[in-house]
Amino acid sequence: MTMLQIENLRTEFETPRGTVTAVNGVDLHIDNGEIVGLVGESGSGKSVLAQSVMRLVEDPGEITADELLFKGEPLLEKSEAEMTTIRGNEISMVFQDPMNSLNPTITVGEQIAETVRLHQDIGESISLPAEMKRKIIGASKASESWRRAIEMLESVQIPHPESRATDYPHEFSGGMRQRAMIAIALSCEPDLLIADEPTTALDVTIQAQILEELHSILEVFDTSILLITHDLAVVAETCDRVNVMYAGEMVERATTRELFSNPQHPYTQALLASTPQVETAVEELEPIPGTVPEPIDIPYACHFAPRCPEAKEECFEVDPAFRRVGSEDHEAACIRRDPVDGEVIENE
Amino acid sequence: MKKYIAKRVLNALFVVWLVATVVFFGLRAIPGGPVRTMLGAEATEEAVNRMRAELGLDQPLYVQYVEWMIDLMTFDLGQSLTSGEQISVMMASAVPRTLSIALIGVVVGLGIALPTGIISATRKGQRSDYVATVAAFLGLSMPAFFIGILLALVFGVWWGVLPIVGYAPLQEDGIVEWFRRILLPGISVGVPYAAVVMRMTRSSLLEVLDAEYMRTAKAKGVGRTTRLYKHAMQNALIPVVTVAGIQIALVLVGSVTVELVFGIQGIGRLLVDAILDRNYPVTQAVILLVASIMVFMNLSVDIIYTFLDPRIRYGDEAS
Repeated sequence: MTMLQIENLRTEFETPRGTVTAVNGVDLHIDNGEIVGLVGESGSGKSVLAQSVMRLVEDPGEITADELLFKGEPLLEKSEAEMTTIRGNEISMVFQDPMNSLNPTITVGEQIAETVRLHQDIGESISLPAEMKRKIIGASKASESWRRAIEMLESVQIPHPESRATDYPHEFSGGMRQRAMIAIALSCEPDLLIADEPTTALDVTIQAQILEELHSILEVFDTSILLITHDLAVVAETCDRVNVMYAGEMVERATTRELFSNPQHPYTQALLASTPQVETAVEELEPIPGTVPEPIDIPYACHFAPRCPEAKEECFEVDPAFRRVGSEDHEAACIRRDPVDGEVIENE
Repeated sequence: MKKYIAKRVLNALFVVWLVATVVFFGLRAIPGGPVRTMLGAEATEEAVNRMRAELGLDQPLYVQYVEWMIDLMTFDLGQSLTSGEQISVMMASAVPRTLSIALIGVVVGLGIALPTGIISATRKGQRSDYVATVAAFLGLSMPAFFIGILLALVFGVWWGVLPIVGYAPLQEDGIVEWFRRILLPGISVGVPYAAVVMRMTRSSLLEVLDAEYMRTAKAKGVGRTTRLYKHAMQNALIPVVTVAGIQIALVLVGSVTVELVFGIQGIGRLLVDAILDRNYPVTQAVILLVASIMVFMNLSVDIIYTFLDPRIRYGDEAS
């Protein structure tokens, strides 16, 4: 069954300098129990896409889509109140920067317990006065939500969870904070977890632990994961399928194995060539020349064309349609690739 | 924490001593002494000298300074040069008046500033935000005494609902009369204070609302109101407390002129008269008092911090 089905999603921001199209007609789907990677450079629109799914994009952001279905239900038609019951409960999110993503004036335990209280029927009031009272004099250590919070801290391998729960975030290390974030995100056993660069701000050793954590979560909670990263090594290690994004558009998608063994889109190829790899001990890394264009009225059809080593005149003029370029639904949006079986999938 | 407070109190005493010393010598550097001011320009040299000797002003500066310091340590503020009255008695009558005005000022100020700051920040760019910011700008640009004159005109002269001159001591005339007398001067000093605090509340809250942990709260499914009060408010108040504490000075300064407008014999009035008369001991005593209040406010702000910000722990409590 499909957990998340996105078709032609656009997220635009009206600014004084013009309309910023951060996400420009993106398709994506995630099946039950899958870990799907979303890869791209900084500025490619990955995070905005993730926040669009949860409708966290702040004004003046505008989200439109032909389809944005979560478990078959259109998220864009939900009211803000309905979204509030979905966020943190059925879809939850882990952010990039664990240093700033936790509230510095609320204990870690309470930040987890709060989520439990909000979404699970455990008979604890979530009215504003009750919440303020908990904030000022501390949550009851005997409550069900607090007990759940300690359980969650334990399950993300925080030592001494009972005493650690009463700590404030600044008393946690970076890795522990990210674990706490994961504990918050998983406290209500969501169906979909969106992890937005969950390991980018962490040491390599901690990264590995966090990734392992994500893997075990999948088994325990049967959660689908959308893993956003610019780190191809992380993708190779964790994801079932990969989507590559560039300047607000999807450029290639395939299973992880297929993508790494047979990258087709010039951008994906360049991205792989610029990543250090142990096995092949590459002579020299090749950085991609230039930078991601600002997503305001990009004047050429293929957004990657100006940086592409293979670009010809028509690349700037003809919109690249997705075409099958390999086995197992391997698709790329590049007019310089011959479609397998002559199959061109989509044309805008 | 105790160690920290003890350290801060010692520090405060040092600051107060420093202020006292600067005021002592600074005052005497102003041309025209108290005797000339009292006796007038035509007084004979002989009369002037006699008066100087009577008041002890003929002694060398350092002797006067040391004597004053010794008096201070025994909590003896001395006597007024002009009236011979005990300064402690003058203060006992003036201080409650000024503190009453300041109290109303701060209560009114915070009462206006916090709600408008919150409304303004949560409705940024909407009409209520513009109205609040413009009002704050007006409040900032008008000196307290001018607001006092306007209030006196409207409530005292046109509508005649409130008295506009004098003070009614709490113990003698009861709380209603005291409040009626103190309300207008209190509002007058409170409005500029409210403007400063409101602007800080607005900008601080705006910054916090933009913080990543606020996005986390939204992603957790926390509702809008709970996000504002439970997740944002405490963080936003940290800088507001600083401003609200330090700007008590604004209230006290405002009180000096507002007391003149409303004919109240507070310490502001006392200070102005004392400076004009070159009444050294009274001037020194009043400035010392104001300095002490400010030092105390600073200390209070730092202590309030420890309640607002769990990251701040002073001294020996650190783990």
